[in-house]
Amino acid sequence: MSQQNAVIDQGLAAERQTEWSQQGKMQTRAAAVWNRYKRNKFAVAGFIVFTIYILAAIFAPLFSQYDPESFDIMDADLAPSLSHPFGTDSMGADVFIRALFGARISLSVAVIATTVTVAFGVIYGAVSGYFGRAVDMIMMRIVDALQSIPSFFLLLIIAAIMVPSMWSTIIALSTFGWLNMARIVRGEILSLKERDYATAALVTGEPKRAIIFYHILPNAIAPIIVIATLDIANNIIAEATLSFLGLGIQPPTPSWGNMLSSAQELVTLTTYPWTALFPGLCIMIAVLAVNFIGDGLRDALDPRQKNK
Amino acid sequence: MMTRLQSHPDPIVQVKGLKTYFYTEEGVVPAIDGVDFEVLRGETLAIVGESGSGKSVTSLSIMRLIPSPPGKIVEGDITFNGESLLTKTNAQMRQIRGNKISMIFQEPMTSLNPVYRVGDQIAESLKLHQGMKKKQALKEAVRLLELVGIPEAERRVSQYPHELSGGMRQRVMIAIALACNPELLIADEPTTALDVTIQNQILHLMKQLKEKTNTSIILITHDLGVVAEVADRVVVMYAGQVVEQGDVYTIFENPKHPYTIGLLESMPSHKKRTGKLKTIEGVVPNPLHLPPGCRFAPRCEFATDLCRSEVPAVITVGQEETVRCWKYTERWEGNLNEHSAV
Repeated sequence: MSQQNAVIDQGLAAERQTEWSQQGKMQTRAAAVWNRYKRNKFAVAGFIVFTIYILAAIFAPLFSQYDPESFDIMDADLAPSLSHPFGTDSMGADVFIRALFGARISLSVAVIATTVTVAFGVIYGAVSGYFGRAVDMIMMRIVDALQSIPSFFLLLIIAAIMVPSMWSTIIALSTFGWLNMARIVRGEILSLKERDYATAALVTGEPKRAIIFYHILPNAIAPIIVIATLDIANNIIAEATLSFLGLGIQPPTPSWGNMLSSAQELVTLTTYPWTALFPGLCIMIAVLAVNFIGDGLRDALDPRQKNK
Repeated sequence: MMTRLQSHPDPIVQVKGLKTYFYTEEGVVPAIDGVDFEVLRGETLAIVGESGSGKSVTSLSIMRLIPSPPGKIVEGDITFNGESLLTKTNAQMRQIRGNKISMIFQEPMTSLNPVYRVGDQIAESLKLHQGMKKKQALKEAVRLLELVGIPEAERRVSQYPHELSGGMRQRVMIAIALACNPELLIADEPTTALDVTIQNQILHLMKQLKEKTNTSIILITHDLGVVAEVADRVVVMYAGQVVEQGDVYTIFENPKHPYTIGLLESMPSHKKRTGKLKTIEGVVPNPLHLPPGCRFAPRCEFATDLCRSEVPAVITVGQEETVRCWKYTERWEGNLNEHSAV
């Protein structure tokens, strides 16, 4: 009964919206998405910041005459100044250039690992949720089993078995990263597949593959985006953690994590705070930016959101 | 035991002795229990009944979309253009669904995918079955929207479902269903969720389109007003069985089965506005515990011991009509005498 009321309410709301959108000009889908996206100022800020990060990472060598992997011990522990905007670390390397090159590694690890986990988790969850019954039962028990393993400990083991490098870090993060996504997508599909439009697609003679991935999955885009952005943020932090523990990216190659790691001593933290502050800020701002982008995308991709 | 209807030369759909059961934890639910009917070319056949009478399961059986498990077609056959649908592979069924047989649902509000423009949704079926390219399919979508009477079709194709009203959405659903010129359209309560005025428009549209395209229609409804308006023939279902079928005039003018009579008497009418409407006392029997005799017996004012103990057979009365009721058999009189003798 209340469901019916909800449907009626939706209908009324939709009719009111019709008037709105009729006044607007016709737009392409991408333009409509962008229009909705740019109404969220935080999302726009996040997008700008993240773009700057990416550009800075790509063009890192242009920003500074220093080499991120060469040290001049004579310049150790210099405070931020014009020639060293973020100061130098205890080895005498420029923190600014190391943070820039660190962005390359840290962001690559996070983005690649997240791409893998999202792709795998979404497909796994969608198949499990759509087919249900025995398939779902087996697939979800596998997820349960993997999730009941203390994953961080296993991450350490995986990272320890492999020769630590960027790729070992990506593999370690991907191995367990998809579980959450699979679970969420499965739950979404389980409810979405009962919707009338899923039945309507079946009645139109669509094959199962198309029903899952074309008709149902796009309706689950909101939670997928949310989880994916959380995953990127988590992976940035997890990479930092692994590198901090010495199992991720190995010095002298810079990553935000191992920069923090080299600044971990109390003396360093109190006397030369910039060596930890700047890579820490880099992580924090990157994670925030990604979260804002995720929020904005989630709303922008939903065509039911009112178009102003 | 069973008296078949006079077979028409070339029916488009023939349902023969169909039994669709659901195997639930509480027991076997005979949602459809021995149903026979035919759909003739170019006609509109209405299937009427209360909720739970098996109307929708019948249509899903024809589409071969009974969720299995728990559902299963256990007996009988369904033929389409003379070919059994039950022996078709899934791939063959997909060729038929949306192409030769299509379907529209009760809820236009939720039957369209909210994330795609209506044009894309119409085009999808054309791309799938007619192998059209996207551009061509979208052009055809505009034509279809015009066909179903949507003004400014050019603009409407690129709107999302939430930008359309309920009536419009049902028109879009009809456009999708008719996209590939199906030979059979199954409309499952197509007007139930709509306003009365819109209901009328949609019915009128369906009637018009049927004449234009010569599509046969199975119209599933519980609304006798709708039946009177568009149907050529009527199948009345009760608790998974056909209790009466015949052409629409006979059913309305001279109904035989007490259930049909009850249904018609419970319909409001302009002519005789005499106080309270009649109702059929009682409720549809629990499908897990069906009465041993006639399934309508517990609610029937004419029921005798015969009705309560033995299942009545389907008998033919008149030219085209069948009814499943003891009242129209030779055993009825004797049964009554027996009764009065007691």
